[in-house]
Amino acid sequence: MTIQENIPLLTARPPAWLRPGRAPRLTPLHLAGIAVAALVALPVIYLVVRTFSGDSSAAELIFRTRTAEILFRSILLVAIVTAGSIAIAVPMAWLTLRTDLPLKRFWAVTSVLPLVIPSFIAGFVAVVALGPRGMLQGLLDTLFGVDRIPDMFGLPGASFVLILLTFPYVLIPVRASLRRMDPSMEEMARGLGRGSVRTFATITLPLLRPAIAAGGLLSALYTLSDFGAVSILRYETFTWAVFLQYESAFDRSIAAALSLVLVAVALGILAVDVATRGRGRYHRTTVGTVRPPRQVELGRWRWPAFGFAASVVGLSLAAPLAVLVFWAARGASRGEDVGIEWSTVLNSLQASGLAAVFTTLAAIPVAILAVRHRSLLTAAIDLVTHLGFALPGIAVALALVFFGINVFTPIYQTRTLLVVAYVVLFLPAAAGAIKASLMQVNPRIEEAARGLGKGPWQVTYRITFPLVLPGILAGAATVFLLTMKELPATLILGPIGFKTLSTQIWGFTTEAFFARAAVPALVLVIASGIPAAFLLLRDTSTSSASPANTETVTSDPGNLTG
Amino acid sequence: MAGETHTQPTDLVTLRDVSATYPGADTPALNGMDLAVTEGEFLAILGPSGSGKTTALRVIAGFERIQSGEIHINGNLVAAPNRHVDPERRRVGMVFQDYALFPHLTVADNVAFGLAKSNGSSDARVGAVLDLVNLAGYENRYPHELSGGQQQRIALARSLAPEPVALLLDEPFSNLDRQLRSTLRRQVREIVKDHGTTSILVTHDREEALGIADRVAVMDEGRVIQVGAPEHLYRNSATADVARMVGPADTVRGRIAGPWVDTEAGRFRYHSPTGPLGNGTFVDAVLRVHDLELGPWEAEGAERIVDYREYQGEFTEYGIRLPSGRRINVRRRSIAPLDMGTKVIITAPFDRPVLVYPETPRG
Repeated sequence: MTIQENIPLLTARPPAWLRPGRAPRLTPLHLAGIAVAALVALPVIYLVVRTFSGDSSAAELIFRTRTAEILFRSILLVAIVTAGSIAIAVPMAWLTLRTDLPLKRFWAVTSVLPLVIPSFIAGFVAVVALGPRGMLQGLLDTLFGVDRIPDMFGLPGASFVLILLTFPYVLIPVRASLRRMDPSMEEMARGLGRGSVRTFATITLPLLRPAIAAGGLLSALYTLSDFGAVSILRYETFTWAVFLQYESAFDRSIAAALSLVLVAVALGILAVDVATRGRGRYHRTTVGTVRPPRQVELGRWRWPAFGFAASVVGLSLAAPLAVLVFWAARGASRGEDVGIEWSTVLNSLQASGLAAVFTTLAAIPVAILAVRHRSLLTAAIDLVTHLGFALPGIAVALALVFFGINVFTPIYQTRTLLVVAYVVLFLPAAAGAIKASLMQVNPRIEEAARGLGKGPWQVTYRITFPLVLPGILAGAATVFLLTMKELPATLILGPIGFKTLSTQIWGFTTEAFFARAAVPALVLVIASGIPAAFLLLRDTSTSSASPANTETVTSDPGNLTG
Repeated sequence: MAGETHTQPTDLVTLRDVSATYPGADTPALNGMDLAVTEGEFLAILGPSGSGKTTALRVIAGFERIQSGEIHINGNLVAAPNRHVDPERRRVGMVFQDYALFPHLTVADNVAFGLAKSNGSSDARVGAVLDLVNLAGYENRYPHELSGGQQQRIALARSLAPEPVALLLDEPFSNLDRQLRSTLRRQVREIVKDHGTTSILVTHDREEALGIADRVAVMDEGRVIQVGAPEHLYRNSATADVARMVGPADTVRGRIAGPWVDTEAGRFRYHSPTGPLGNGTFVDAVLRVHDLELGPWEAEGAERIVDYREYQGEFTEYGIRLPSGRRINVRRRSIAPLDMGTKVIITAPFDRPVLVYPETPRG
């Protein structure tokens, strides 16, 4: 499943079922869907209304702050990171699928794992490893007497870290697309006398374009919404600016106005994606066994390619883990307090558990409506519930702050509001997973069960539910992981004194207690890494076993954004 | 279900003036469809894609609602504009093109699904229907471990297990290869007839429809054009469309001259299913590919020429160019093949006259 299937807005032409014709019947399922959509949409609408109807006009607010400057910085970062992650991901995908690269399987698996590293941990690792008086400089000092290395704060550090974090978002769809591609098209081009390089450029690459675009979109949205890395590496983009305004300024409407611009930019990126998606047909090879393509022999490029794969995985995965272990060990050996507060771990687990349960519960009606009861109304519900996909966490958090203070007063400053934020943010991930597995259930199967004398509830319970259960569980697991990693909404909406692993790591890092941050960071990476790795690996292994597999939910990296 | 309206006892399934339109569609899928299926008979619905034949099955099964008309099953009114009996209460079994087996259940559990909560008799029934479809011993397999033909037989067993009032088969053989298709077709007919279940099969394959069914209903544009025994349908097709649907044919213009019809393809004996035609009437003559004969014709002036030849083993199919430049097709035994360019005469054998229909104005 690719990302455009997740977003009805992105399908080029309205399909037949979207044409008006039937007055929707309002079943309890529809009412549940409307309630979920309202929960998602109201805070954001409220934020818009408040900002534009306040004492000082929104335009004035936006003008007063250095919006243009922040806008430029944000877009620059997004552009660099997106280009960089494509530049890494496309060769990585090709090398690990089509060539005789040594240890190909190993690189194929490890190259997607950086997905599990939260950006604030990557930022923290970058600071301690590459920062002034950091590990790299210390090493160079000992070896060569170098006492200064280029400053990595700001744009260089932020883009470096984010490229290494987001290239898997491009890698996954590109690899899936490359795997599904019918090798006969490339063979045809070779047969018509084109060399391998020209074949790649004129046949393979254009065919990969939709996958690259889908992955690039994810990478761009991730970068735009990222708070952890940019705040730790001190590059002032929208997210950090919003947070600073929110924390320091008396008048929170500036933060609100800025976050609205951020939302506009996110929607703008989506719009650009829709506009450039163009007339290209989304090629899907027919079901059936796809002949495995011939392996390209790299020849003398074999070892340079190996070096490339090793440095990508080394920098994005091995080095961060090694740095964390090193700092934890060093802290321990110096007798620093590197212990872990169990209440924090418990808070993280509890918040993630609640988020997983409630997001999944909210996603079930949305998914059923979108797949089985298509109409204008359900399409609208589906669209609204995708807001969380485009909305940066900090904007959702801020919207809920305003909404909580003024409307949801009883739950403001409680964990309930925090869980609401998680539901809004991660609903698309859960709904996407459930939709994907529901779409694989042939409606004829349900009809066959009805025809055999079973009522709708019995069919749901005995047929549909067991078949969709893996999707529901995968959705819940994904939400759990995303919540463990979530930072900005937790920072802003967490009740006073409520600490999770992620807010604690961020706090220690910003106060430069690096050794104390290392242990919870390791705990977080391992705690979220093991199940995530399981989800990703299960996908990688099944899909390489059967080339024409029905893609499982986790091959949709959109489910892992946050 | 209270059966208020009783129709003729022998008609097990009846559709009266049924119309159904899918949401968002411009034209109705069913447009005043009438059909009566007799108890114990095997009826095939034949029609091109888009003719509404699958919709007909789906409204009988209760998966779609109807906007007008009435459907009765076993004397009970099950569908009308203000009435819709749920599928699970209609007691009809449906066999789908893609089998629709429950992938998470074993063969035995699939077959037992429609039976009352498991008791001794349910196990016995599962065994009995698996025997019937010749798949005893497969109880503990999962659907994905079976071949396509086996899966379709399990689907059939599953539908038969709860003793449905009627069995609906939606293009059940179209996913199978040719060889298997004809074997399974025969098996299914035997199983269903032995079992005595009233069955409705939907297909676009004329061989299948004519070969398997007691009666065939030909559908087009959402209604039944003609119902009848296969041979009757073939010999007395009600319209030129039906004639072309039940056997490959070319239509040429002709004119009645006594016992003959004159066309540019030649002069033929004719049969007019729509009633006697006066001399000089212009007609559409349906020239069936399988029902014509060819002879070489040496005489000057013969203007029907072999210009295409396709060897098919026992038979050879010839393309014959007519004076106007049109080409019609004729199949002939492969003995004594005709060369390309041979001038030929086309005749209709005495027992297979050409079907003619009063000419329809062409648009």
